[in-house]
Amino acid sequence: MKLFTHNMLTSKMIRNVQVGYPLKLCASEVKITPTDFRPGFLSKVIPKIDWTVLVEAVNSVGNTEPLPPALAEDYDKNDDFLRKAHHALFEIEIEVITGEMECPETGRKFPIQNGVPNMLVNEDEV
Amino acid sequence: MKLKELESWLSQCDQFDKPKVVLEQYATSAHVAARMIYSAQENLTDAAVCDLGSGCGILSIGSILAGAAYVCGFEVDEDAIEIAIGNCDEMFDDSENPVNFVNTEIDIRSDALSPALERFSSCFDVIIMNPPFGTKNNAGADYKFLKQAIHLVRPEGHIYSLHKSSTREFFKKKMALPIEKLGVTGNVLAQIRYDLPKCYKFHKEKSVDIAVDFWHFQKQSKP
Repeated sequence: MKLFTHNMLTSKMIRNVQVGYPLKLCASEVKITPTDFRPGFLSKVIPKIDWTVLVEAVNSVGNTEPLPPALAEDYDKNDDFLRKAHHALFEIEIEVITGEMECPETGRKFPIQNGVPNMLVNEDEV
Repeated sequence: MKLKELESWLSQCDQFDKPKVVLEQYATSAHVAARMIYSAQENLTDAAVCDLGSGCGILSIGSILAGAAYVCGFEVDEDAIEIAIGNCDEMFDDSENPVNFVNTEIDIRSDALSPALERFSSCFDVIIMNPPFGTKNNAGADYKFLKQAIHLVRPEGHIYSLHKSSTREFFKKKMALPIEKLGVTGNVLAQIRYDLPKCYKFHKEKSVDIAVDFWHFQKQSKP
């Protein structure tokens, strides 16, 4: 699972959960998979993500260079910034055998197995 | 990529071991998938792509082959995801861009976007899917998948999807409504003879051909 995917998922399907975001990421094991750097694509993607959540996710997995704490104003023209964003969003892979994400409101855990987050909930939870 | 080349790559994908009736799991053949990817190719390059109900992942893999930047497959059945991951492992080595699969329900009980996916709203450049055909106990599921897809795709983004030809008039009527009702325009790119091998007990014939439309929809900007 790439951190872009983590940046988008919520636990809002659980009954009474208001926001369900961000999911707390608990995964110690990551893999770095080099992928093509596409500045045009990144400039379109960055407005859709929550930068603070990404920074926290990067810090939580550790083992990699921290991101600038705030979104650069000129990010679409800032090659260095875009490269860092690319690395964080699309090259860090949560590849753990077992890891999890946690609903910030209920503490409900969503396991990540072989890189696949399991967001399924039971009938009595929705 | 050339059509033949796409089809030959995609023909290496494994399909469902035991298709599940309740989920209407019909495999997307390499023949059909290759033609869908080939038609969508120019919009897939450098795009964020969603495969809604990704099954064994053949359309997700095809999207990567066509140069997509990010591909996310949403699928409720973890057995299918396991096959899909196996297919990705066969096709790509570690240094390539694999698909992100998320084991999640596509909630079609309401017209709103599935709550777990809410933040993905208008996020994708392209949705490519082979939704349930909406038969048996799943009446209307095909149309509801389309509605989810419309939420997920950005304005002016593209949806490529398969629907039974018997629903063509229904879809045309929906699209004739004022654009704000459904929010897409669309046309049938091809009619496909979809060969369903006998994979369920209730199938009496050895295999059945059904007529399926390959639709291309485009989301309209808000007026």
